[in-house]
Amino acid sequence: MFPEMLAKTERERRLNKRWRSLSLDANMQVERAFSAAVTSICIDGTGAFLIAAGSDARINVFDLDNPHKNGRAKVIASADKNGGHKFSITGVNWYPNDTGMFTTSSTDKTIRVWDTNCMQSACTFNMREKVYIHCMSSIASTAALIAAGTESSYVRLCDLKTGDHVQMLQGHNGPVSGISWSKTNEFELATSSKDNTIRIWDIRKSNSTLACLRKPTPVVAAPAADTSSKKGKSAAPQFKKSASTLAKFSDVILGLTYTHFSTHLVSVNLIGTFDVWELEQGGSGGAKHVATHEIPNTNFGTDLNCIIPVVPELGSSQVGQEVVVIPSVGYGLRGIGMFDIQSGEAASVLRGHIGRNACAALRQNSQQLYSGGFDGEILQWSPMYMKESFEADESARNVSALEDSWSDNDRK
Amino acid sequence: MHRHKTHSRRTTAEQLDEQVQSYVDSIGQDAAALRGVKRIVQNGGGEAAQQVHTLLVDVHMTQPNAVARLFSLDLVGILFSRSSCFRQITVANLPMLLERTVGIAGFVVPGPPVYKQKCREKVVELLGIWHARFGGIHREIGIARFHLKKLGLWNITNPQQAAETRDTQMRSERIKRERHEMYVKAVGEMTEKIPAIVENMDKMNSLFHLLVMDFEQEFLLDASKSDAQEAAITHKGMAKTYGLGSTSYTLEITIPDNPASLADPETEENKILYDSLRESQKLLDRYLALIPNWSRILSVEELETRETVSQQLKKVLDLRNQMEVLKAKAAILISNADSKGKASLADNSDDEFDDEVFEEVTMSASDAISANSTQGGKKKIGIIPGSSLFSNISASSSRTLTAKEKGKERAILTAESSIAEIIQAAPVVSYDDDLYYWDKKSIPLNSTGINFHHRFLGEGTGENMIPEHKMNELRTRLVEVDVETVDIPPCRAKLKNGNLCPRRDKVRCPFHGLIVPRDDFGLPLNPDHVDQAGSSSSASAIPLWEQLEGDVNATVGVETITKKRKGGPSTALQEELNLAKKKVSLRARLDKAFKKAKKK
Repeated sequence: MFPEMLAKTERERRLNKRWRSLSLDANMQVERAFSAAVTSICIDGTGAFLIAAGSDARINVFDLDNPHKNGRAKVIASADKNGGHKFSITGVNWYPNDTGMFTTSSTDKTIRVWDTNCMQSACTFNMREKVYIHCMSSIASTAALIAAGTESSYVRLCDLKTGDHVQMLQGHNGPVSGISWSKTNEFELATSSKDNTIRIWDIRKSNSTLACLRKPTPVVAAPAADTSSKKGKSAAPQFKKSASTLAKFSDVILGLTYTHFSTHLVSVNLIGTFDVWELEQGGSGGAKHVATHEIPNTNFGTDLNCIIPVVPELGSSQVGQEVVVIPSVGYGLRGIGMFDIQSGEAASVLRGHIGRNACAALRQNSQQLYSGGFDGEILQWSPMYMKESFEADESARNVSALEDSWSDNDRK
Repeated sequence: MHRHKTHSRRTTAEQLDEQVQSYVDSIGQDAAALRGVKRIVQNGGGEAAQQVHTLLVDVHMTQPNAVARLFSLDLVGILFSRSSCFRQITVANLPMLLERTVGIAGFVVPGPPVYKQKCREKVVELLGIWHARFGGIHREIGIARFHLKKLGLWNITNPQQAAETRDTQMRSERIKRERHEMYVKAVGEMTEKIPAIVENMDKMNSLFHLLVMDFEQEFLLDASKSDAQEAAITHKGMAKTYGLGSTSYTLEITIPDNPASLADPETEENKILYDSLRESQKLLDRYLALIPNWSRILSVEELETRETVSQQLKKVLDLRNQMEVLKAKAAILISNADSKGKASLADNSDDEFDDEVFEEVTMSASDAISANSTQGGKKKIGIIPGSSLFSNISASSSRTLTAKEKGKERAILTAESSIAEIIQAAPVVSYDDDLYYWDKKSIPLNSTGINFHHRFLGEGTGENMIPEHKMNELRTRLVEVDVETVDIPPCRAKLKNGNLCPRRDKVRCPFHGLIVPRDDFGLPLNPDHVDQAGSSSSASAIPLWEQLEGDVNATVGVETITKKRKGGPSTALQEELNLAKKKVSLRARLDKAFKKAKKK
């Protein structure tokens, strides 16, 4: 057993290393099918199909496993405004169990459930407010619920089976900016809001809020690390005074995500930082603020667009050592930052988009990252180790391109 | 050692700064500076590459002039092709470079315009070279090229042309969209109106068939005649008829000089047909006016398929040709009918009043003037008949006229009255426009027959009628009456301010007494009047209002009411009725009796 464990640990470590060594793949590309900004992308569980949606209400499905001869992943299905959303699509997600269905949310105040085979909308949820984010639990077994965050402060749950709204989670005081279902508990989800709070909910309970997390500020000289609260109680009263101060600092949360084993919660803030929360296990919902790390050279300004970080799935041995992928970082928000959760160090900042980067999705089985930008491009990022095998087959001209080429006159 | 290293690092950075500055300031002429930069980057590795990149992109390419940016770009191009580290750094920051040299993402590259254009051309050139050589490794270069092509900044000779190209494209797109909208609208209009046009044309064709004798019909008539004559054909005639006697034959073709002569002239029987033809002609003109607009819209349509547009255009043009033919035919017929009609009108005086009988009515001065004469006044001859006119009519025949009210004579006519009696009894009124409109019910506003279009007032198609209130106004007659004016002389008494009193009272001025003739100084001409005037100023025993009342009554001719004086002893009844006098009551008598008793 022990050598097997060692091998497993080593494999997971290498995986982690591969994730940290991504770079723009020059050989594999995704077909250019968007003239407007790409606002959301999602890859199914098998990594075979990528679905992308744009600000022109266009949806394209790409086949990643069977690209063209020139290495381009081609479009196999598409939909546009005719019979679809009227305005910009804010989120797209595959149905967790298969690729026969996917869901989209839009600023036209609807969530649509699509049939992939005929690319038609099978069901529409009228949300009455602009929908900023929506997602489904990847481990749900009893109910297929879509959690939607809108411009109101409620988190609405929609049931795919009945086609109706089933629950409304009340607690936030501002528009919901981030939603993430737990990877271990199908009834638990975390939401962030522009009221600077994170709430953890258990949808089975009448008083759904398990915890309300608020990041400590340097203004208040209180134990900054411990902000946990249990059983639906709000944050500790001593921070009530600092609420207005918090508002002044504009510490708005733009998005959050669970790590693979739901041990940590990572949230991205407007002021250009990300927080790491350590969650208590056992379904109690408690959390402890671990650290706040700065995202270098990043200024979101007053842009309140949702930023959804993603965390690659790594083995249990890498818990706490994961790397979080945060889109829209760097100069002009064109880069994709990969940061170590524990130390906050930037493993790499991926640059390649001409316009602002809007979204990112992971292809788990091949450790690849796909990103969409405001320039209409979907870029593929692969680990450096994958590219070496290509480079070995390249012609002499391309191999020399990686080296200096000073002339004799330059050396004088 | 550490000190030396620090000094060399600083020296390297400073040297780089110095060399780059010198190269840029010399607008690329300083070869020594260029060699220095190359040497430093070659020896310095990644750190030097990063430093020079920062210098070039963050310092010199942010200068407020395009010259520095251009030569910084030049240096970037030189180093890019040589140093792999510099290449990687540049590729990673390619958007920043494009922002500062081309002006993407809303960034504006400063002037001068010539160097600004050269900057762009240099970027395009470099990207082309880099893509050819390093595109396989650095995909960012291909992305940047695509992005510039998408923005229309790739194949340009000058930025103005690029801007114009973009503007022109946008404008042409907009024009195409607008034309397509007009096309859709025009097609809808055509779909709606073409059936009506075709119906009108069919109607006109049927009218032509009715009004113009058909040659076939004539031939049939001739054939029917020939049938009757068939029995009378002799052998010789038959041979001649069938051309058996000779091989030559003559063929007579009669071409009428005036094609309209083939048509039936307008008579009472076919007047309806001609009127219908006129209406159809007007309708045809209206539809013809739409055709040029439709054909123009169809000819400039670009978004629709050519086949569809060609078919529609052909249909419209065919329709136009048919309508013009019909219009010409109708014009010939109608003009012929009108010319014949005018001739007949001149003879028959075709007027709607032809059927009415008008008799000459001789008007005598006494009948017209004496009815409303006043002293010194002049009246216009011929007024609206009033009761006074009726009163002047003498009851010449007692059979028909009877007086209804005392002092008034009215002409009362029975149902058996003859026309002559009625005319005799009728008031004499001179003819004027009001009599013309007297019995008119509906008069068209535009009777010229010419359709007009006013840009504010709208269409004038001959369908609008004069409104009823206007008709009522037209039926009234204006009568001017001169009233005798009597000139009342002013008072002209002297006022304190030196002027003369302007009051024009009839008898007595309230301030100056009787109005008497006075001179220009306000003094009465008759010296006797001075006393009256003087006496009037003094306090009179008679109150002023009584004086005025007396003057007014004298003017009007009403007797002044004077107070009756009581005279002679009054009777017991009169005393009883005298309310002013205190009555002696029982209590008063008793009080009197008690007082008497007390005295005693």
